[in-house]
Amino acid sequence: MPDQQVAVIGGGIAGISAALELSQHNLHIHLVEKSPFLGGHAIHYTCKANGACQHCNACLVQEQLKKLNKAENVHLHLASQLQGIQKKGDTYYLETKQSPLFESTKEQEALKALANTEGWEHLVQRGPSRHNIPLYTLDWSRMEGSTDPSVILPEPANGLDLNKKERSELIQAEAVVLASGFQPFDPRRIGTYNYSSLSNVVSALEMEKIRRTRGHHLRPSDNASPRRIAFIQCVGSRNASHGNLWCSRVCCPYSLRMARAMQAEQPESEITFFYMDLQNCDREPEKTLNTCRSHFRFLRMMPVDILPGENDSVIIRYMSREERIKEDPFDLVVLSVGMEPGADSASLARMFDIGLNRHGFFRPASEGDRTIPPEKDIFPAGAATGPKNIAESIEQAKEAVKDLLTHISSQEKKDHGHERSLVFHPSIDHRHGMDRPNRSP
Amino acid sequence: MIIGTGWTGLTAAREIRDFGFNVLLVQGNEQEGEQEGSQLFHSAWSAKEHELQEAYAEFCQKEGIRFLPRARLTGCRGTIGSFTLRLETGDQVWEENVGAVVLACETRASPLLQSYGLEDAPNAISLSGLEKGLTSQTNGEDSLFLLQQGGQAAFISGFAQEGDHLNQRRILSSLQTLEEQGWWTFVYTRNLKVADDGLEELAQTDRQLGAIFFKLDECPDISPDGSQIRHKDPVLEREVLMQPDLIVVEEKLLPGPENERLAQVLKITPRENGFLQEENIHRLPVRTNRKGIFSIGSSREIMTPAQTRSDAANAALALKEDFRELQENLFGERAFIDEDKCCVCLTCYRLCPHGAISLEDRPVISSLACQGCGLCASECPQEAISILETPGEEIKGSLAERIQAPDPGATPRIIAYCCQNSAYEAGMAAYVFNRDLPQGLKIVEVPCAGSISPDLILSDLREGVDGLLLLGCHPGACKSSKGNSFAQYNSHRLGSILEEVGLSRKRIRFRTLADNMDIEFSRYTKEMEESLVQLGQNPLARVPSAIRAS
Repeated sequence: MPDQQVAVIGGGIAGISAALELSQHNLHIHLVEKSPFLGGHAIHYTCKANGACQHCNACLVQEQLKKLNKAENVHLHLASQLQGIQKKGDTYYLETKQSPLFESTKEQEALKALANTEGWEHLVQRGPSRHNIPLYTLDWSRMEGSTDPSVILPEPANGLDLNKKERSELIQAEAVVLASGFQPFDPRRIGTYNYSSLSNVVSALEMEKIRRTRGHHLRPSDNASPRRIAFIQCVGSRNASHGNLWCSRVCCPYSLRMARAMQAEQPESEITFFYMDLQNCDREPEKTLNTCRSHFRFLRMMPVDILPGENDSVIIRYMSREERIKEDPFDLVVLSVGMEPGADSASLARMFDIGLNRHGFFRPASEGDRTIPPEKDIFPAGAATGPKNIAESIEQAKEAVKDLLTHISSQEKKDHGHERSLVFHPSIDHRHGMDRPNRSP
Repeated sequence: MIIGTGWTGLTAAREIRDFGFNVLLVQGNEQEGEQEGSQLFHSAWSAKEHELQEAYAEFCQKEGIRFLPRARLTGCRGTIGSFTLRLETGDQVWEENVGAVVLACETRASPLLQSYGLEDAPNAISLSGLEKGLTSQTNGEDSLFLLQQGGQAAFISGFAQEGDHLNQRRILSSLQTLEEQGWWTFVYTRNLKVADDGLEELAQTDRQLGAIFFKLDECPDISPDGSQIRHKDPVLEREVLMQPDLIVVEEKLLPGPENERLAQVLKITPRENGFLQEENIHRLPVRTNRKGIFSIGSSREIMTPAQTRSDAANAALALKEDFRELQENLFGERAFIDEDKCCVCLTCYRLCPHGAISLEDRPVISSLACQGCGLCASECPQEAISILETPGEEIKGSLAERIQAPDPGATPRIIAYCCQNSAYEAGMAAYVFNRDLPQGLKIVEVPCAGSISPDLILSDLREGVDGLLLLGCHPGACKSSKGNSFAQYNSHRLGSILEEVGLSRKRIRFRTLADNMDIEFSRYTKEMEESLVQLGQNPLARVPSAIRAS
């Protein structure tokens, strides 16, 4: 077993990528995730291909998770909440509490059977990807009162031990990768959009889940296929009144891609964008944005409010240049919610005694305004450091790993007067085509 | 070898050397000479410039870094682990052996004065001109003369091109400096490209300092002498006339001048717009279609210094990963050419998307660079190439051995050849999640949909299979760049053949999927089943096997 241990906090795409990269450098990795499943937000996203790949990178999340399952030296701590942190000498001790999991094949089969038993399916949660191990878990939040020994599960699941207890663990680590992620802006905070009361006003993340579970887009109120669709950009981003003075960077690309995929499925869709400024959507922005401009209606203004209309439709009221106040009906409104600092960022900052920038994100070492002193051995990664898309999260997580490796190597040099064997000299003298045995398959 | 000695090249050299690799730093372009490093954009990158100078000084002394000024790369042989590169300096030509190549070429800024009809305007300068004027207080250039006057400055961007976050940062930073020096500033733009760290805040600061932003859908009316800018303002709802003392015009950031040539020499696929990386998710972040050749920073797209640093770190890790694999010899031999059958038609050489086939006196497949996609084997007219082993976890052995008849009994019998990177994953997910799948469906994992040769499909039909699905990746997402196009072409061609012999072309279908599309996998296979039920049994299935074989 490798001598050095590293903890990765957060099992979203950044945490998965960091753990995967670390596993290739002879380190022992503890990946701590509070939910029972790896993948974070990104694993719920759908492919946005509209006939051709639109480079949303959603498929990379599955791929990274598959690779992680095969990686050596990665110890998963799923359904584990961080309770406290102590540092003794150079070592961190992370105290975690793990909700019970059912990992054996027999238990998994019992859960699967329970999920297919009418009246009981709500108790079972299934992972979003087939690469989630374990794939099924009991939803303990719905089990209130069910731990009562008198509760009898139906036949296929009666072998499940409902009295399993939470488990405390103490994880040792010489260094920590903080990949605690982001949280989407809660649209309820914009009262005039009536997000809570209008079922056909959904956040883009909810639309992802609808597309993922149903295979195509539909409006929640009656599962009908919507024709008139509106996207409202910058919901919770670039908004001084909510204190969010940043562009979330991912929303223009994801909504434009989603709109293109929707129109590819339903060519008769009429799609309107309410926006402030259009951000570049891929690496050929001229081409993509001009295509979008010819397919969708773009209105450079933020709607005033959203009201209920007839037949489950929704009315967006906005200031128009010509008619002052204008009201347009839509079948579905998608709110392009922005990215905010993760729900756990503040408490993690307290536990590790490190800083956040004025927006509430961790700053990585490579940036000018780093918030974490170098002697802390803490390397933030992914969207916990600011809004990032999937590809950027993977790349930045690897950058954090590179920083961590360089740090460890210099520490050891300091401690032992020699550098750890990060140094490697290729000594291959490979001449292709020579010494090839002439073999037939 | 790292090509490029600007910010990108030096950052890469530092990161890669950190991992103990020996670095050969090549300037790449004779004309640009040593100036390349100082081409940084001052206001946006000023913080980094100091760092760059330090880095230069550091590198001159560092062990493990060899610097070749003014050398041009003119030839490349070999594959990852042993590239032989031909370099030229003046009339000197020599060769260097390196294990991998990192492309780190800078972008160049091209003025857009002409696009706005301002090439003769005395008060118009490009963004670089302004930045130079703002930072170098000593030279007596026109831009500096203009700057000393003060007055009203107009910035124009986003009409002659879409624009990008790097240009935006440069504009917003310059704006701040001018405002602080007492200028009145106005910005005419289509979209503020604020999708980068801190840009929204910077724009806010500029507004507070007094900058006025006009966001317009159409370019304002600018007089050619630069004396007037006129537009119909959508917010004020009236015509606004400005008489600027200074007009600053955005610039287009173009891929490095050597990119096209380097792509040819190194046999890598550039993007349409000239940057050195295909638009393909499998290449992210820093890989190209050839193993051992990396493209980072401004080589692959318009990038800020922070993004470049991230790229450089990723290149260092990718190099380490590749060389570890090399050393452990994990690659193994994946494809093999039978010399007795090969007629040296060079189909494989032209076809290989990974540049893994080189020419000695005959085509030779490098086991290090080969990624086992099997395109060469499926297209070889002599059937001289065999795929020996695929990286798939479950199935080993040659492709031919893997194909068994579908489960007996259930009809219609369908075989779905599924790319391991996409459709196979979708199919397995559909299976695990209990999605509705045809009873007679057999899922076969293949390295690439393009690796299935038409012969194989015809032989399946001869065996009595009712229908075949070729399931690959979406266009633009094929790990082998064009494997999915081959599969589509093959299925189309086979369809015509089937019709000619009296079978329906509906018995073969090509569809594209991503790994998370289990619902679509179920839908496509069920659709196939339905259409096969309508078509009825494959007539060849009723022919006795003895006759079929003959």
